[in-house]
Amino acid sequence: MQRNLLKKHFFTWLCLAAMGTSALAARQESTAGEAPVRYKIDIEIGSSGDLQGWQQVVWRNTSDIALDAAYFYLLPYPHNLNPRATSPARLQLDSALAADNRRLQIEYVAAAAGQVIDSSLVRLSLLQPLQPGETLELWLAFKANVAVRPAEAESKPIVITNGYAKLARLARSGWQLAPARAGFPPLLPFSNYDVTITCADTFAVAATGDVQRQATERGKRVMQFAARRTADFALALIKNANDTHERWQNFQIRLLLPDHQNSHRRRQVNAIQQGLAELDRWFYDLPMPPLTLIESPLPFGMADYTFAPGLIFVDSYAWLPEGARFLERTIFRQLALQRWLGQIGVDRASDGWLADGLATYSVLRMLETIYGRESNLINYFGIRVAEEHVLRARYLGAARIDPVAQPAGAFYDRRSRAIQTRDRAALVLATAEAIAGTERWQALLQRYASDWQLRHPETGDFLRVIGNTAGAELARFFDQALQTNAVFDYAITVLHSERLAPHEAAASRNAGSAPPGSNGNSTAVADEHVQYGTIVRVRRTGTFAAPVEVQVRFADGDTQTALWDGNATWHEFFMTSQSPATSAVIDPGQKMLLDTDRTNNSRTAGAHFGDEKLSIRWLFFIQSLLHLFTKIAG
Amino acid sequence: MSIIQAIFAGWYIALKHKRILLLFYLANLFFALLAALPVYMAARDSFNVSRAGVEMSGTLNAGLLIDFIYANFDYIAASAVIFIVVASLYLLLNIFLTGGTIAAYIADRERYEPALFWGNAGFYFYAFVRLLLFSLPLYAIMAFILYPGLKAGFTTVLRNVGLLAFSDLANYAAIVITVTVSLCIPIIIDFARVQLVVTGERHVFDSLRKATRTVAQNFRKTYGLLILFALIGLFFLLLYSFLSDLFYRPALVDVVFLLVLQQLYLLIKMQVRLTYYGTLVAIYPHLTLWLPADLAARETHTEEEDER
Repeated sequence: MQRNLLKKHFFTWLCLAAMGTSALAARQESTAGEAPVRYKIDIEIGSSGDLQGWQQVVWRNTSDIALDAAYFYLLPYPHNLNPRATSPARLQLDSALAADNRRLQIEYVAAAAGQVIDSSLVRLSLLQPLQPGETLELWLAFKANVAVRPAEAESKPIVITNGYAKLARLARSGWQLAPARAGFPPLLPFSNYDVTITCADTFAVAATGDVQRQATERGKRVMQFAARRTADFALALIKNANDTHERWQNFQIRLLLPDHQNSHRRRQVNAIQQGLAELDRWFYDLPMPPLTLIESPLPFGMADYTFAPGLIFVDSYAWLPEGARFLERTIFRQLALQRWLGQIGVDRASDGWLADGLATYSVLRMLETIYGRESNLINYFGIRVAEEHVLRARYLGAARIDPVAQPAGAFYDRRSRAIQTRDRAALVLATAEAIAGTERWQALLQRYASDWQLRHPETGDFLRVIGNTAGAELARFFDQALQTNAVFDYAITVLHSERLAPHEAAASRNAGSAPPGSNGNSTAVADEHVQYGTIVRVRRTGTFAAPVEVQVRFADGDTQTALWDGNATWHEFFMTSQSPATSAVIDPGQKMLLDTDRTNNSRTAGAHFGDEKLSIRWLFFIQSLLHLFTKIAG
Repeated sequence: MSIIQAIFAGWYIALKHKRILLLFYLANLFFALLAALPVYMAARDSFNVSRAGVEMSGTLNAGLLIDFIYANFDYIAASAVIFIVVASLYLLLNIFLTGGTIAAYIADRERYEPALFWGNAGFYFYAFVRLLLFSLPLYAIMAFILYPGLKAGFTTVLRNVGLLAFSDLANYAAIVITVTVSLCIPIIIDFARVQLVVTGERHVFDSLRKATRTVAQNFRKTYGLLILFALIGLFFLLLYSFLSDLFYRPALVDVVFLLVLQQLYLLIKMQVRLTYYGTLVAIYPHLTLWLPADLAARETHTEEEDER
């Protein structure tokens, strides 16, 4: 019945959808390499959590070979977005029909040789081979059981990310089949969706794309969504939520949040507006899909790296003051994922850093630009924490374990994978920015975004953009930073100034020569009115070789800066000046965020009270802790 | 006797016994120095002759602190192990000194008598340790029975009234109530200590029972005492925070002043702790017996009511 209805109105809908989105599609077609799959889906979700529906799939054979089968993923359902689900039910395919109503054979297969057949990949044998350039239309009936505890459904959204059969990717050589790895779904082609969702009218519905139609009749809510060229389609059912809209620069933001989120409405809307503006300014102006804010169904603090196209997950931060910007960070990260995963199709299982690392780096830049560098995450009651500190703290705990760019399964453990692909990758990108210079780096990232929007880049593609645009120096840096677990650490071990004898000063002025006894590792920097000679010795204490900038400050306020390529194990600078040196610093702007120990980055001529002050603070902390301990226990 | 009067009496008693105050302070300083030594050694390497040292001698730089912790992780780990040992020893010493302190406060002699202090410290040590051990299962009950029970109960109530969207509230309410009830445990233990020293007995279980009854019968006063001392502590903490922020410059004079301020603050904290013991000693007879002063106050109160 439903199928007949869909078929009856199919061409009308197709024409309307095509007319309504022709402008956007025209622009996107010109930049994308693969033809989009067209889905028309009709899903009905019952009050007991049972789901059933039909989908029409239309796609063109863009490969160079004739295809005798089509492959669809039936991924675990509900997705891990619903940890409260009573069981991880899977979508089941009931029937598959060709356009002429003839039934297709359904066969469960493995994604690759040696893989287990686990009902996640289905092969539909075509009635006749599909020649290159030909278009095919299929009709599939499916069902599943959401199986969320009714009580939980009252308070948290039910998020459904795998609620339809997903056509596998087609390359020139044929089908690109991959199993779901490390919890990440296989990469899908960018597709067009027209989806009708029917559910009880006690639910509000959020989904990927624009709302085309909504109606309520006989206790049922019917909503129709249209999404063009998106990485996937997801929907969420929410009870007890307020449905409101905000506009910002012709961009519509929908907020579907419960009452207790009302007090944060202004912060949420501001964060979205600021985040979108910074994303466009920093990382190329891609058209963002319509966004809907919903409360995360996951336990507190786990929403940050969840991704569903068009859905922005936020936690309930009702108790957090404005000075603690975790709410803003979550929204920034969600926006960044919409950009780096939603608009550039990265396979998280094989090149996770390219999406998660760029998203984390984007959040770092957004927080620093909007709130400053020093205390952009927490600035409350004397507590000052920056996102940079959080990233570095996590990175330093796992700096030597794994390289950044490798498949998800190759990491030592899940913690290492998370740290390398998110935190360390973000620090790699920030350090690359320091080496390349902000303007050049920004242009480079914009180039990457424009080249690869609505396409599927891999690590090599990113490196090619770097190599072609930025040159060998940065390419060498990325080779070490992504492909090895090399440790980045430089230290100043010697700073020594002494007055030169007149003949030494004259010789230095004339020749700019290194001091007597120096070897091939030395560089000389000369001053015209030489009175003092200063030796600065820099050691590469890590295994990572990168260019290093050393700044020496002198007693008269003068400064001299020298560069070293960082290849040898140590290097000695000889500088001449009118006054003795007071300090020498590696990376004076503290921009090389990959450096594992910044406490050894400098040397001063005289002693300071840093050790004493830290020690008395530590002593006070211990004294207070002992006092508190005896108050509780003694 | 009102709790304000008791606090003043306790402050006076604690101030009168300056040697005890000094003893508590020096014990705290000595044990803290032992635990802090490894970090001092590491800090000398990292922050003595470097720009990082200049930055750390001003306001605390969180980024450099993180680097310092990871670069000197062995020192920090050693420090943690030493802290566990030191804290255990300090706890025992504190229990030991408390017996002598309460006895000295009850006797309230004009001059410090070593025999009275140290003799009672030793006499009550074992009984006080047993009191501490008795308190552990009580804390466990709070954490593993009361809190989950309250949380489940509140969640059920919210679900029944259709407000499950506010399920976080159930958790917060359970935490607040559990902490509130848990705070009664140290009051009961402290009253049991006073009870033991006043009666000169060492029947721990009996004193615990009596102390529980005393706290329950005078809940407003005993809990009010705890809240007042918490407020006093908070006041001194805020004062310290405000003053310590003044010494942010990377200069020797600021380092010295900060050290002096910190130690002064800790000395005041010790004085407040001892005032608490003094207050318990002062108020205890008024909660358990009808003393002449209380009877007179009660009669005056009754006469006023009659006149009205």
